[in-house]
Amino acid sequence: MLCVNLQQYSRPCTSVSGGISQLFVFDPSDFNFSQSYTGDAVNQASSYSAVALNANATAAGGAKFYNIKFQFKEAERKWKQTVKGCSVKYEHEVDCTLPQLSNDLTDFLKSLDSAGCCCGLGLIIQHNDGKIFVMGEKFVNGNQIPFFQVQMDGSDGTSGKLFDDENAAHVVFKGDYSRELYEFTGGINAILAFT
Amino acid sequence: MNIRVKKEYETVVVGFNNCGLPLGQRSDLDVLARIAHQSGNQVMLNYFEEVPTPDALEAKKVDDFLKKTEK
Repeated sequence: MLCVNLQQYSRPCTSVSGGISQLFVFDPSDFNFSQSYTGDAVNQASSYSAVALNANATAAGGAKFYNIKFQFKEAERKWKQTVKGCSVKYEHEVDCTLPQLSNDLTDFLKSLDSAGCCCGLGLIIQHNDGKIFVMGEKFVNGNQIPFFQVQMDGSDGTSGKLFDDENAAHVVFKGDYSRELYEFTGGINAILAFT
Repeated sequence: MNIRVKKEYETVVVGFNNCGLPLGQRSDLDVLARIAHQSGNQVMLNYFEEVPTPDALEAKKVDDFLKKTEK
């Protein structure tokens, strides 16, 4: 440890499931996450354990976690790490399928496009194994963190041709950052309070 | 230990400990105080009328655990 502090990693001694259970989108400017530092210098935990609205953000004014009700079993979170020299990049991606092309879908996509252009999007992703991850957050412990811009990028849609063809949009969120996502350990009910 | 939030923050919602009730209705403010200390979050520390010290919070944690084991 003369040069760097490494940590051990133990796989969980439980079964692990794949897939996404719930997905929420939010305005990163509205929410402040609390990141606790526990453990020692060698084994440091740094998850988010609480979330609150920022000053002047109100639920009545639209500061909420908005549920994206995707087609069952059709959402996935992926990331890829690369490094050039010492510069590390994590390419994050969340995909989900939203059935039926409609005006509601058009309005929803327009809102994502607008938000992605000016302020970025935040995502809360609950995996089927219960873990909750935060993507695109802006405020941590009351401070603004380096910009983690997430946008809708690469989405597509189809009406299909036949009656039993797929009629859906495949919505894709992308964002590059310097690390994997932090987990929110405050529980799903803490998230649902802001829906 | 009686942990209370300031009157003006009683209706504020903070999601933690798998719950999102307003602070005035929470019975687990010791958990929030511990999070506030561990994160150094000044906004959160400001919610409390009197911020309990980390030692007092640790003592409460031990007391609560002992009470549970006595049952």
